[in-house]
Amino acid sequence: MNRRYLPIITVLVTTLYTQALRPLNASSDSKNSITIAWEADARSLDPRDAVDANSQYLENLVHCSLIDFDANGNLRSYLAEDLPIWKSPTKLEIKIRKDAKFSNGTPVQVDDVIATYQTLKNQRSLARSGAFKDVQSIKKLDSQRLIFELSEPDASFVSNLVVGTLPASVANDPKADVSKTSCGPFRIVKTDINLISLERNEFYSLGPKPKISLLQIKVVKSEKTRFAKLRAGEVDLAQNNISRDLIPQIESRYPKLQVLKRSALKTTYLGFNMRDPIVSRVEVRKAIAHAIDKDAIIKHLLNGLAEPASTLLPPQSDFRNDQLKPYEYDPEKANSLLDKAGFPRKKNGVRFELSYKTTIDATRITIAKAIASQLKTIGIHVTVEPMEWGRFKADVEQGRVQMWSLSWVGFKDPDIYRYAFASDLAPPNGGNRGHFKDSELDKLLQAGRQTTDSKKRHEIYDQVQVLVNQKLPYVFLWHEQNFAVINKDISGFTLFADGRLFSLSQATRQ
Amino acid sequence: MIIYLVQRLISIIPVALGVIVIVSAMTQLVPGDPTDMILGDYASLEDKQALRHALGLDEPPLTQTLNYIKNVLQGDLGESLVYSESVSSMIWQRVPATVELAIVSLMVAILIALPLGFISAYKKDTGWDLSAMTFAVAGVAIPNFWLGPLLVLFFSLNLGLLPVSERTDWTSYVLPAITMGTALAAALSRMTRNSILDAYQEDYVRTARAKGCGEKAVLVRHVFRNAALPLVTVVGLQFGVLLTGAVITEKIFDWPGLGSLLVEGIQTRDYPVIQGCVLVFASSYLVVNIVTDVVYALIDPRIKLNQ
Repeated sequence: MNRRYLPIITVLVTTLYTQALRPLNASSDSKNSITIAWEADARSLDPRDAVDANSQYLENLVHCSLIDFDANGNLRSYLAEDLPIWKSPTKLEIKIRKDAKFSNGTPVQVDDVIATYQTLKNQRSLARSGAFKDVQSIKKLDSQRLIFELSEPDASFVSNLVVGTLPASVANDPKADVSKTSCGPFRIVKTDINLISLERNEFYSLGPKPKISLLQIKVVKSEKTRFAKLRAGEVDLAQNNISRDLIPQIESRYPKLQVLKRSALKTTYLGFNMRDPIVSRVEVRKAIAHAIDKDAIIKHLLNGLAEPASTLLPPQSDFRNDQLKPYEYDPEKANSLLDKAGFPRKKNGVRFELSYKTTIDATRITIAKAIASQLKTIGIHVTVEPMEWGRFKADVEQGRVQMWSLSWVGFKDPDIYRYAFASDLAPPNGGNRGHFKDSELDKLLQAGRQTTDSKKRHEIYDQVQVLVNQKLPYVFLWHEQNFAVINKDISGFTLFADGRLFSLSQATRQ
Repeated sequence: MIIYLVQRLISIIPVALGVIVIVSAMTQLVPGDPTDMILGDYASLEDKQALRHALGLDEPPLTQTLNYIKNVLQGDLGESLVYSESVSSMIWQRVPATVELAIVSLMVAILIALPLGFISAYKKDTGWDLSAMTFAVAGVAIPNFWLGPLLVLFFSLNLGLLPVSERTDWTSYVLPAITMGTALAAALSRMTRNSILDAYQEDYVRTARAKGCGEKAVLVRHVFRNAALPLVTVVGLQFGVLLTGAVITEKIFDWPGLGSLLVEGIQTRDYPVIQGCVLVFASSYLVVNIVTDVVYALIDPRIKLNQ
């Protein structure tokens, strides 16, 4: 009988034996390496398919693009020698640098840039191709210059030229490995489940070479585990993926860790369904804006990691209208607006009821409850309905909602106003989720899109912001800050407004 | 035996088909569009529709299900909508991690449960028994999402003995295996105790004693061997649970297993990944059940599988 157990015992012993003999975690020279923690995988290694945040952060570390954004989120030339020049409202000329090289030592040429963008123009299945649907042609002018010709004027097009450049042979071959050759500060050497390893690109010449030789990106899905790994020194950096509630505790109790903060390109808003009979009334929306004590929420629920918003554009945006101030907290004015609008209090003190949908993120639920509590003081009974992201998004986009909160993240160009508020861009065509309609605003947004003259464009978007502030399709709540919890041994890392991790190329371990 | 095995293996097919139909129907009902995940928020409606067409998501649900069944019968589980990678390859990459953790957890459970149940039965109604059964109750009552972080806090952060998470060397198996194994050990130890106590009441034990067998020989040759029969069933079924139910433990310890792949598939509306994972889970349950039956027959000569 005992022999019958032999196969099982053999399997168990073999498993144990092989596990015991497995080499210990190949730790490279830790002085020359940095490990960061992400909350999710990068969904694509192909820069042309990079639409999620982590894929774009990875793209920015390993690829070079024509233009890029600096720490404040402003345009800067990168592979391009200077910022692109509009030769006409539909023609954009770019000159690339001579000294750029791919990680295999071959030079980056105009043909590579053209091939990358040509595939985006022609292959609609590529995730980022939507930004290039108005490109009519991409032509090589000489060995350094190329020109994009658009079918209609689009001043925001420049901010689309951030796609990582692939070698022409790779861009044109659907079966090619897009992760092998790149022109950014790092190159991908290994991808595994929950791990991406990057090494310094020794041929990088578009800026100072990375100071570290190895950058490891680990996907740690549990927030508690990320924090534990930071504490244990298993990872060195976690950006925006540790609970804000822990920040004061980290700053006071963990001497090996530090917290960095910076204004982000992120605007959180309260949205309204304009087809709803109650919240479609501008007086109601203004009353809500006056009833929300943003400062208190920022101080107590966001641990000060935000600033009150008056427009969609964050403080560092060149186009922000600084004359606009947030709606001040004034419950009396809010009550008065509702009285005038014909919503008197009933016997139970309630004027009307509203539903407030949000995601199941704990912070968002807490904020929603705080807002509901503040609106109660002016007689609005709010029911908070947290829901899983897929259902929440479907409900918002299909109009099964009265009021909801969301954030616009990472936008660089004021054309975001068109995407968010243009009458013809309601879902599924665009992001006007509240189905807001205003012909005056539509005209301004179209003009803003088509005007390439910087001064005129500024004037247009000043007017856009004033108009949106008056009509109030959203109540802009706050601009959240980016923050990173980082090992104090790491120096040279700076936060970027859009969350990109480019500065890791200049980070070192002491 | 061979005929029995063939029959049982064939019986997997209708169950798997049923699973596919149910999972397909459920994924169709879930709100959310995978093209949002693939193309992002800023994609145009035309691009989303083109992608839906390219992926066959605009076909009627029945057609989609039939196409999927046809592909599965040809060994093709499809391609991940999010990662553009073969689902079979994604699953195969994660199977070793899942199976290894299940085996190690099962070993932890057995190593704890057998001695505990044995002592508890042998020292019935003593302090030993009470302590062992208190452990059993506590083990069942403590949820993994609490025990896991607690173990990390103590062994990784306070003592610095073990890694917090990830699947690296053998030390990385310790905490997840204890987390998963403890609950099973608790249930198994109670089962062991009861089985041993039941076996003690049997006639053959009295006969063995009457024949002059020593207490140790009675325990090992007669009691324990017979008490092992129900344990095999429980261990077999629990192995199936360990293979498929490690979602929370995998998340806590960054374990690159099938559970986390399934959860990620659900979150990103990656239908082929969801269908593939559920199919593998269902099949592994069935296979584990068959193996349990076979082992049962090997242990107990009275059981003939082909009857």
